[in-house]
Amino acid sequence: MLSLLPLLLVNGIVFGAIYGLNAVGFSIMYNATSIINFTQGEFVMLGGMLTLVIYGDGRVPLPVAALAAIAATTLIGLTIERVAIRPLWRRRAKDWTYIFMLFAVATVIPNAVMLLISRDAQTFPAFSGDRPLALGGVSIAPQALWVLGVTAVAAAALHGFFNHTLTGKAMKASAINRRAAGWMGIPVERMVALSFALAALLGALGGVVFTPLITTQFNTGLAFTLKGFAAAVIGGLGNIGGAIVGGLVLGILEALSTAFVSSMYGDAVTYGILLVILLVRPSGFFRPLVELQQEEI
Amino acid sequence: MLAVDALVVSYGAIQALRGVSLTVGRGEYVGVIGPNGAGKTTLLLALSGALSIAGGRVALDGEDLARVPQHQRVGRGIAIVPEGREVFGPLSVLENLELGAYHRRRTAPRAEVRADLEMVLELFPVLRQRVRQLAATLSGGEQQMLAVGRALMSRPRLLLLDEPSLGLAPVVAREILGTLQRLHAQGLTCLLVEQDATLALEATTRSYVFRTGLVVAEGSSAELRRNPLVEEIYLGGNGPVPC
Repeated sequence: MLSLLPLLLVNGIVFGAIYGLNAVGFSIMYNATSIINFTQGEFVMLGGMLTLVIYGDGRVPLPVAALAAIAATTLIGLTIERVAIRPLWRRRAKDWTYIFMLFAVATVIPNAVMLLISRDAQTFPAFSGDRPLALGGVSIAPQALWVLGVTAVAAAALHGFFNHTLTGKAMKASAINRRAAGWMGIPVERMVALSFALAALLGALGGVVFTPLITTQFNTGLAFTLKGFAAAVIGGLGNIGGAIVGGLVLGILEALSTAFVSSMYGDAVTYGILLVILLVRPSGFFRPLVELQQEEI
Repeated sequence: MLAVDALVVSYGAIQALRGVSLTVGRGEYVGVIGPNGAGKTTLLLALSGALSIAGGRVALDGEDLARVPQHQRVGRGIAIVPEGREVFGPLSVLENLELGAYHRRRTAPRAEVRADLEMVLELFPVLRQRVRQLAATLSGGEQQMLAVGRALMSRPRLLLLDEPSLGLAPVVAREILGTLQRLHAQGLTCLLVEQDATLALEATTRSYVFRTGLVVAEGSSAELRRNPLVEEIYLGGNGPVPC
């Protein structure tokens, strides 16, 4: 069993990367609005599903289909913000209103996909073939390297965005103190829209690179929502680097528990960890950007 | 430059400002004094767009500000040093100052913003030693300097100051007010809100006295210093609240 360890770790890291991308989506959204975006996992599903639809057995080259799907999902994210969130935001609605609204959206999206696209589990070809590569005694699917590479690039790009661009800093400022950000001339509503777009883009990106490893189906979004959320909590909701680490930790623990306990208990372990962390250390293991939203007069 | 006419601002059913009129001319240093709850902070929040107005008119150089949203006020030249400073604690001193110039990101050349940054760091040398530090780790006085510096980075035409001396050691408070005095001497228009009447009447040239959402006295600050009403307000508190 122990000889399986390297393979399990690699698997865990690959799944963890996707959880991490979604956790970043959760964190960005939480920073911008202090709400939990329950549609996050739907963006993963949409990324995979829309790639399939556009790709259509090779009519359109796969990279083109993938980029188009990511763009379309980002647009859907922006639409959700405009139609479902902004009216609530303008009325300064209570947090639970957003939660119900987003649950409604997270119900509509999979149903729409089921009715309009397909109810079957499907997949599309891996980007660089299926021949496993032997790396230091572990055989690894090329697509898994795509997942890791894309996650690493996305994490580096986000780091650069939030720390080295004025727009990124303005987004952080809006999260820290909405009113003071307004005084600086930062259009806070546009920053919220931008964070929805970013969250959708990250989810779709994950869905696009991950789907060839498994499959995608209209109802897979919820699992990504819950695991992404768990990873975000582990990493300290709102901490971007913590979100990636949280995802990796969750992925590895899940892989190990599936192997050493039982495959039936994978989810039980995930949510068990979430429960324990929420009880013991509700702010996660890294410092959130905003610990307490400053109350406005 | 600034003309406020019969301004009414409410928090729900409570009117915090009940028809306030005042003016600030170009290059003036105007004070607003009054006890707690007189509506001084409310005035600045309304001028800076953080609160919407329920009645009356606010005009800057003749432009009605009612339709100018909060995030566009700084573009019109209004900057605020808010009560409690409201610096971005989890961001560095440098980032706070950069964000002060956010509204000029497309219009001002980089060199110009750099020059302004240099000017602010000359003005508050202690900030230069702390540029990489998170704003939350600064002392109260340093945070106040940062809040002033951040406002200056927007190149304001009208600077709103909400109790910049509050909670600071007298030496630090004097230093900050001294710096503001120098900026005023260089032509910056300021509106200072202060609970500490002595401090405010020394710093400003003209003042308004607020009580329970109304202007109860106005005049040159030197005159007001000798006005028995001012003393009475400060010794007698708000008095019975007229309904």
